[in-house]
Amino acid sequence: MCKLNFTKLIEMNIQKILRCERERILNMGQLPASYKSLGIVLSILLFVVFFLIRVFTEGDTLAGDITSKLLLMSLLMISLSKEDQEDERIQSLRARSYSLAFIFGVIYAIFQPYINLGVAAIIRPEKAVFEELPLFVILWFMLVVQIALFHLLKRTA
Amino acid sequence: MRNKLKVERAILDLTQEDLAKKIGVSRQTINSIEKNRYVPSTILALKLAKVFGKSVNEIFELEEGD
Repeated sequence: MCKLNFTKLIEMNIQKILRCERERILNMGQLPASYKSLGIVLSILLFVVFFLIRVFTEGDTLAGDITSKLLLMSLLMISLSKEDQEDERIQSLRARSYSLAFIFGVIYAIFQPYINLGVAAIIRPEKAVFEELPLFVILWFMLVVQIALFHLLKRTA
Repeated sequence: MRNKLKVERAILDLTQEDLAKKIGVSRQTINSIEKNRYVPSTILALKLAKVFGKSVNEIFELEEGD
C-alpha cells in the first residue's frame, strides 16, 4: 500500500515536471516588455549606421556585415519582447503574425529576384543579371513584416 | 460564436476594464470577445462564466456554420 502511494507520488511528480517543462518550452525566447524600447532605439541607430556604411564604403565590409547582423538582432529583440499585458489573445496574434511573415518571406525570396531582374532590364539592360537575395535581406524582410503585422493585428483584431 | 458578455457585464455593472482585471487579461481582449473578433480559450471562457456565476453555455452559443 505504502509502495503504491510512493509510485503514485513519483508519477504525479513526473507529470508535474513534464507540465512545467512544457510551460518553460512554450515561454522560451520571450523577453521582458522593457526590451522593446531598447530594440527600437538600437534598430533606428543601427539602420542609420548601416545606411552610412553603404553610402561611404564600396563593396562588402566587415563593419557593414557586423552592423547588419546587429540590426537583425535588434529587430529580433523587438519581435520577441512581451507586451505590457501578455494574454492569450496577444499570444495568438503573435503566432499568427509569425506564420504570415514566414509565408510572405518565402514568396518574397522566390519572386523578388525576378522582379529585380525585370526592373533592371528596363532601367539598365546592359547590367541586368539574375541575383538571389542575400540572407540578410530575407531575414530583415521577415522580421519587419512580422513586427508590422503583429501591431496591425493588435489594433484591428 | 455568439456571446452575451456585454449583457452579463451590464447586469453586474462592470466595465470592460473591471472584467479584464478580474480574469487577468487586457481590456482589448474583452472588447474583441464582445465584438466576436476573438474566440476565447476554454480556460478563459470558464473564468468568464465563473465571474458571472453562470455556465459557459449560458454565455457562449454556437452560430450556424460554426
